[in-house]
Amino acid sequence: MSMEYVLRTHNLTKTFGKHKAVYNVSMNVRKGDIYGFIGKNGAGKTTFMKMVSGLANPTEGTIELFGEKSEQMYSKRKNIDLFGRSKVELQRKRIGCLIEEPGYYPGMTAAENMEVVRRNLGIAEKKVIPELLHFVGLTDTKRKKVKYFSMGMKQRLGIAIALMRNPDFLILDEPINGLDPSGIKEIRDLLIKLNRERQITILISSHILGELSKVAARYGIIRDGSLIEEFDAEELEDRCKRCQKVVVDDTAAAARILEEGLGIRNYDVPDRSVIRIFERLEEAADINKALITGGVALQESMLVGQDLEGYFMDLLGDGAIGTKR
Amino acid sequence: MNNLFSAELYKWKKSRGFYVCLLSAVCCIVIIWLSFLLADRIESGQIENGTMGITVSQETLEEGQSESFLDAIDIMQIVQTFIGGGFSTLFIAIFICIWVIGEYGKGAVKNVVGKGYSRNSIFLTKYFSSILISLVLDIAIVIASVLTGMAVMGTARIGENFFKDCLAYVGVQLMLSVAFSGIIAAIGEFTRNLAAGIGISILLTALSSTFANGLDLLFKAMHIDFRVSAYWITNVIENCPIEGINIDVVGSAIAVTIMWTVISLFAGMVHFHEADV
Repeated sequence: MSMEYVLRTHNLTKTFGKHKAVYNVSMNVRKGDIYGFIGKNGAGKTTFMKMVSGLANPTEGTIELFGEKSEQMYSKRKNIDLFGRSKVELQRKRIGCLIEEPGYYPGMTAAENMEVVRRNLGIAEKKVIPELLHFVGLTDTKRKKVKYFSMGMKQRLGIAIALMRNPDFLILDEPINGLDPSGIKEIRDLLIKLNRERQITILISSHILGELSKVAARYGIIRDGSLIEEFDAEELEDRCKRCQKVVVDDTAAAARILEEGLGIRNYDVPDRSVIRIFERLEEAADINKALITGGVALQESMLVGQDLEGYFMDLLGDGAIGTKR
Repeated sequence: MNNLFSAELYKWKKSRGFYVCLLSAVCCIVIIWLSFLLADRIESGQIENGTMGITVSQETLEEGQSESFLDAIDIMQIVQTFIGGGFSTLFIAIFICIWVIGEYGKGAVKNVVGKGYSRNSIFLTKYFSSILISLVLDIAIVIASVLTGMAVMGTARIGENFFKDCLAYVGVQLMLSVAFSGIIAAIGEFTRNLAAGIGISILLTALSSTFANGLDLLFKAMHIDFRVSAYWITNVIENCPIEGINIDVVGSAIAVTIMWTVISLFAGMVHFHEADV
């Protein structure tokens, strides 16, 4: 069965003059996933999200939303309907987004802001407003104007607005920025609830990597406008797993010693000369001794592994993947 | 587009800025009329000169001329001052800038762009709602000017052609207002910054007709038979006569309105279509 994708971009590029804010990004977001989009400030996360949600026009590349692909050149698009909308623009009805800060009218209440959005989107049922305000925990705000809301309340209003048309795909740019720990937890719980209860696919960017790792099922790392890597949460866990890494001349002979001599089964061979052993880490010296005694030339042996934050920092910065500890 | 327009109407209804703008304009008109009344009373000796800071100089009064200040003016002249003299255009310019640029200030435009509507229809809705609001402001200013004028000067001063002339004049001005507010909406879209938008709009309202007149003189000096002021919107608004509006005046107003409406609509639409939000 082929994988179902909500979003696929192909060599998406955005330039501002000579500066390439986003360069050749080909991202794949699977249906039902929470996709963590990670990058430093100015790496191109927001620009990428704006292009996907239709707020910015790409310079080059295509966007495929729910299987509908955009034209290559936006300024010369021909495949549009009577109202000047492309197929991708029509698919954007299925997207809810909160990019940068939530869009709102400060002089209106939360319900009034929601009413504007309800009318804009042509939603007939008025009850959607109290339901969503209840869902994000803003029922008690009543006549309080949004300009008097706390940062967390504004973010929750932004999420309520993004959820207005019951989207299949939610794009959230730094939704926990500026929130206190309890606000962060509230938003995290809300996202998990949306993903599990409403089966909404979520693309979320954040600086708070530890928080992101609590919700994301897949990750994309962007650096200087380029998507440098995409991987699953399991893969990440695997990469960060603490292990004994040995560099030997003959991995087959070493594997035989590990299995037959020491009874070790939990290991892998990622490279022609590398073996990673995931059990009996406290007996590293004995393992080394057994390998040498068995006639294997042991070139290197070390304990490696990182926490998620450290791993991400290595990816985002200049460090190499799997730095020794 | 119906959905978008419904949302615009709701925002308009909830817009405190609109009511403040409308009330300020009406209050200004009432205050100006009351100052005329006060000047008239001072002139006729009923109130001491200098009352409430108003001093009336009677030295220039010629022999045989009426001593009543109000006798020297009529309601249509005052309506012309308010509608064609930069008063209503100033209020319209300020409010439309707030109306259009306000969408960008707190990012509310992001709630509608990329939601299945073409950018053209989003801009068109904003453009037409701006025009509608400017027409309402214009009509309110006319009504306030006429009613306050009638209250101050009395209905005896209303001539038999007053309402005919007034309707013809206001009709032409409302038509021109469509183009003017369209230009301001386009400026708002281009600048997307409240200070810049209001600043440019005020400059346009206050100085552009003088600039156009200057260009006329320049062209005349260069023996070029072209009058910029005949085609520039604020000049046409200013120069619209209050009596004897004929087919030439109407025809010229229609041409100028269509020209500037099309230009501002096209420019705004192209910019909104291409620019990032």
